[in-house]
Amino acid sequence: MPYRGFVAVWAVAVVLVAAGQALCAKSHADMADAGPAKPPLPAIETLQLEPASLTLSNIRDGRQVLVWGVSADGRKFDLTDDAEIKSESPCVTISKDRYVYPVSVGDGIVSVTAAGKEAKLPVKVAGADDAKVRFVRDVEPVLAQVGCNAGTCHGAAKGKNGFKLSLRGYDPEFDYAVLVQELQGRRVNRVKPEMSLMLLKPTGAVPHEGKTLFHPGSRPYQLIYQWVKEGANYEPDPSHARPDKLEVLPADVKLDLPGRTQQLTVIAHYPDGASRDVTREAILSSNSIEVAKITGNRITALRRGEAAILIRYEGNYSAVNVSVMGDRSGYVFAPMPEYNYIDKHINAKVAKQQELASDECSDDEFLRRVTLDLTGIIPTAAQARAFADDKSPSQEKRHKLVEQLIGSPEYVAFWSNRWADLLQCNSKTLGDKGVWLFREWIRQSVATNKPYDQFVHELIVAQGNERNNPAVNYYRTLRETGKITEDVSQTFLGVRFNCNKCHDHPFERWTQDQYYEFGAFFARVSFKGGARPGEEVVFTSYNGGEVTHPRNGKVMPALVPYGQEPDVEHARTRQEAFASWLTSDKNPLFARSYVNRLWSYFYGRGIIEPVDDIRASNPPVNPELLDALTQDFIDHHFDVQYMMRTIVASRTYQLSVKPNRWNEDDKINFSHAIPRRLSAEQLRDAVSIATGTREEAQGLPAGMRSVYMADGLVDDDFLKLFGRPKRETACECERTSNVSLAHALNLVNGPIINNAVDAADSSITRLVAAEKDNRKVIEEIYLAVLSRLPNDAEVAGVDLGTGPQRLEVAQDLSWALLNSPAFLFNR
Amino acid sequence: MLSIPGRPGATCDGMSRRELMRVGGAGLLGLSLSQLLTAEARGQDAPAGKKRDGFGGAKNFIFVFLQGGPSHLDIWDPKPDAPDNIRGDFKVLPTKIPGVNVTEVMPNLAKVLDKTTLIRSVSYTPAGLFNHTAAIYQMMTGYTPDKVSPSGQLEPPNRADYPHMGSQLARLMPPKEPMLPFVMLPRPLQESNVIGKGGTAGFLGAAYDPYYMFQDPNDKVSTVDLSLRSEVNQGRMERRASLLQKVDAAMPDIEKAVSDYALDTYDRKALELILSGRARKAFNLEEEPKELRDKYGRHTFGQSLLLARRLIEAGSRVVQVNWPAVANGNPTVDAWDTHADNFGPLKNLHCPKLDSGLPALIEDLDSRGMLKDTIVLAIGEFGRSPKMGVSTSGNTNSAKGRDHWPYCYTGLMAGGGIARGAVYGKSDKTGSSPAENPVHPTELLATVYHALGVDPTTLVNNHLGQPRELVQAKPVISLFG
Repeated sequence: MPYRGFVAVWAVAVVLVAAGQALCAKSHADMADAGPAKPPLPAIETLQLEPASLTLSNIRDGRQVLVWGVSADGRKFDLTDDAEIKSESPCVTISKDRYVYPVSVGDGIVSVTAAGKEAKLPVKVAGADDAKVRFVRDVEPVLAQVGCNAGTCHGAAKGKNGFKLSLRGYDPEFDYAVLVQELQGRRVNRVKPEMSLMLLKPTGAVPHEGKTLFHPGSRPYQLIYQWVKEGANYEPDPSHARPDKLEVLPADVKLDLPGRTQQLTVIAHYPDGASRDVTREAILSSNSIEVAKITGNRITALRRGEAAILIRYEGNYSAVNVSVMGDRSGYVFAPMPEYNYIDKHINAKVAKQQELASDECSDDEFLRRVTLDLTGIIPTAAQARAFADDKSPSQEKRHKLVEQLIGSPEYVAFWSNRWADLLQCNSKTLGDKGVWLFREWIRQSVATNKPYDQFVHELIVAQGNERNNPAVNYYRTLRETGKITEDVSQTFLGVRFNCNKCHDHPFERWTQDQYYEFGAFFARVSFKGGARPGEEVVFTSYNGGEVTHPRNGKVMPALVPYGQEPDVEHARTRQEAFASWLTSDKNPLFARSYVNRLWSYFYGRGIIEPVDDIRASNPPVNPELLDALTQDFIDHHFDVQYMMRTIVASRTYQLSVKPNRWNEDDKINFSHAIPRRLSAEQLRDAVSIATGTREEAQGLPAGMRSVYMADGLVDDDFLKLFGRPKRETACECERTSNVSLAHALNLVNGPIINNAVDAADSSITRLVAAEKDNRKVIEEIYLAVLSRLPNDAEVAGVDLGTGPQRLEVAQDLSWALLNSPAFLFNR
Repeated sequence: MLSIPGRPGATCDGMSRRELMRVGGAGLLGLSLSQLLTAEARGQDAPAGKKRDGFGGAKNFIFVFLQGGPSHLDIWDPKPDAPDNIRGDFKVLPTKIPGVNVTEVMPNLAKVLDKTTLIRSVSYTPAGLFNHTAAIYQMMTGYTPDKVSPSGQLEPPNRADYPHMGSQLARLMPPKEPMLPFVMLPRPLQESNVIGKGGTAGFLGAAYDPYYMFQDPNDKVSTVDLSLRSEVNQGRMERRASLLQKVDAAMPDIEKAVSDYALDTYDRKALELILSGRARKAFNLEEEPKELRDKYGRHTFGQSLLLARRLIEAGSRVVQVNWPAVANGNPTVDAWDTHADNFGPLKNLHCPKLDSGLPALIEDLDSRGMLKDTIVLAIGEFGRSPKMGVSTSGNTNSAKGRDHWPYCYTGLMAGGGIARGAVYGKSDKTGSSPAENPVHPTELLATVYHALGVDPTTLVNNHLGQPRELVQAKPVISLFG
């Protein structure tokens, strides 16, 4: 058995490689604290193995087994680190790094002992033949794992020191040519494999700027050595050489205390049905080094919270959610009442994290919140009073309110504004006329509650002039194929294709080829002058217009990145073929990305966040909830208003911002409401409503509310300062909602609040003149600004006095309330 | 090593709005005013004097950030003997330092070099692709971003970011009088669609974010937000402030829920600023003689530099002037990112502005005696490729364009103890790599901290309570005169 020694030395590599990897990309993560000590284990009753049995198919097919200890109360602990693993049969052997390897065909048993308990693992060796080392399947993963082709090393755009590999191995043909043919073939030496530069450099036998990455005899060394020795051939079967799916065990990780560890097993599945344990070559990273760190395949819990472990192997991506509980003694779960299915999924997640949902918000809080979320404005004092006076049961009147708001003119203006942002309605690209026409098309779509799939379909297939078919303004804004590719994918699929313009997407399966194949659907979108001066027509050029790949100049076919290829041959235009694929209810990202986005508008963050960066390595915090919302949206034929009703009817939406002891550190699970600073437009409009004044903006009619401004480029200092987007990108991040000194100065002393408060014709002036009762004046100001009545202490805190001073103090009170967080935030 | 424990979530001085207003009732705002009347003195510690190693020689910092990556070869490190595809179009020009040349498009700079130190060996090897955002982030914070997208440009700022150096200084060396501690002109940092990356207080919290101007100082600057309004006198402003305190106190849950935004702290600072009038006055460039304004140059960059000087005079600790244009590769815009065309734009657009503003600032500071305790750093996030028409960053470059080049470029420092009339470091024949004394950008930051009397290895706790050095680099002591 010549391979036995070979197998054994592989074990060393795990440690060496982990150390070597840090050299090329030392990050601040390395500076993180050593981590907490391992907490004691409770008494273990039984052992469980995962997988529960193994089938091995050839001499290279080594597999890891995870060892679980189960405590009396059913909790599971990873004992893999400490388990003793022994082969009890001659057909199976255990390597030093404790992988199970075949020796000869047959059935065998491996015994596992840990925490004083024992378990047996049946192993079937179906084949124990020699297997040649293959370039794409075996060698490329090693180059990726030790970091040769990382962006910081030879995978950089220009390579390093005259040696370039494709970034993370996205172009194996290129890599093979570079390794075998360049540099007079010195990188591989088939006669004396150990003299190959490919081995001399990374072992430091000759000077290497990237330092020593592995040592002779290590697993990467042996693999490369063997490959060179066998002739350094290219892949015999390139189409099946890379996996199409990763499986990670366990699929979900829950750790009780900081210091607890958990090993992962990564299994790659190939198109021909084969599978391999690739744990040692897979690249794992933690998206939150504050909560959990990862060393090799081992997760260590650092502090309470949630993290995702991202797993990357040969262009495949997966993620595992990790929950670290921390000390929760005294916790008892109590579900919140479930108004609809949303609450069921939130309850499940909250229970899993050992949190408790906050209490329900009050009626006045709901009134203000839902009015802002559905219509972008605050209720008037009269509306607030009427809502307070309505004595029907709370849920009944809340429901009634929602029905009044959805579809109202304010609702239409507000949601049209959102779409005008995303579709980048600005005069720079569309001209003044185009802006108003496009905005009006959006407005009508929102007003008629046009099904979302139809809305998007119309945008994608749009042709004609901006007057007859204003939807063409979307293409007029985007103009060129690359921008169309990137914005359509980001807006309607929630994925960022701009990464794979220059190379394969490094955090998702998207390839560079797919970018250009996607673009090919839009290659024939063309522009020409119309009949009237300044008019522009969008049309489809039927005689040509192709996308070529920048790497090889090849004309790219119009192909979708996943799912059923649309019928380009029989469609009138490529855009039509694309639109039918895009807006199909079979498209797994179309409905999903929109419900996630919609959710974020009501909660301040998406279930996947950022909402337009969906990828396997950015998992949802509550996948079941997102699945349920997606299905509901599809089942209701992309009815956006229905989804809004569902969302605001949930108890989850109606939770208070006030946390309790058990959810005060929650920022992602929606167990309490998160205050959101009012947007620029909301703030400007709210000040005007609360003070009964008319807004003024340059070049626009007096009294026009901000939400109606059709153009992203309206020149208004306040709106700019408070983050109204210029509508130049498809990214939600273009709108900002922070607070800084400049904001405070503007609010405290700037014209928007102060002019309104001090205006001679404000509602405050009228109120003070008409109302002699000081208490009533104070009540009315509270209702106008905060949509609620003041309590007795609040009334007592303001002395309006008598005479002309009454107006001044009333104005000052209004100023103070307008500057309070209760006004500035949606809460 | 000095350790300063951070207080996540707390305001800068631990004062809540409520406490502030309580003091305010007893005349906090009045106190600020009376303080102001006698505060012609800077209110800072007595000048530390020039120490031998330059520690503590400076009190203030002006950061002239030439965002986009100016071509070192075509500005201040000419290579007249290099091959055609490297040399460039400009002739050399002797300067006040014998034997040291700049290019012909920088005649004014040539005349003030005797007051400055040119560092011709700034160099680093970037982690990952070298695009602007990551490079800017490093230049501003001293750290490389943990999570930068592969294009290096897509991650918006967040509260886990490392703080901008100015924010660190605003916290460690707050101005003694009511003044904006850290101002960024004429706009926040921006690259592609990402606004503010590297230009925020990051984990120090929103309270230490810079004051962004959002206006063009070459235009009429509006300071309405910095002046007391005519209808609201001081007494009435106090009444408003105390009412605000009362109404907020009645809603503690909401105050707590939004505490991350530090609205309290901002409101307090805003009130102080308005009542003192100091900032408003500083922003009024009309007070400057016309000739001086002309000398700085009647453009956004020049007037921003003049404003920087006024703000420092009024008590700001750090002022950063960002090069106004950020457009990428557009040869009709004066952005330093000259992929498309290097020479025409540099000669006609960029350099006339740089060459009026920067030398005017140096001279002006010097003639006022301010250069003694004000340290000036002018630099980009990288230089440009010595070879023309090649791609080093993956971007397309025209035959007359230059791509990003972090391996060797030039920065200028002056004041605060920095040597006068010196050149530090040397580039090789083609300006491709340092021939001697390479300086990492983080070492320049360390040098500035050092000059300001702050140990660069001072630990500041991040949002998770983990200690982090201001910058992981040593000061370059040889830069001090």
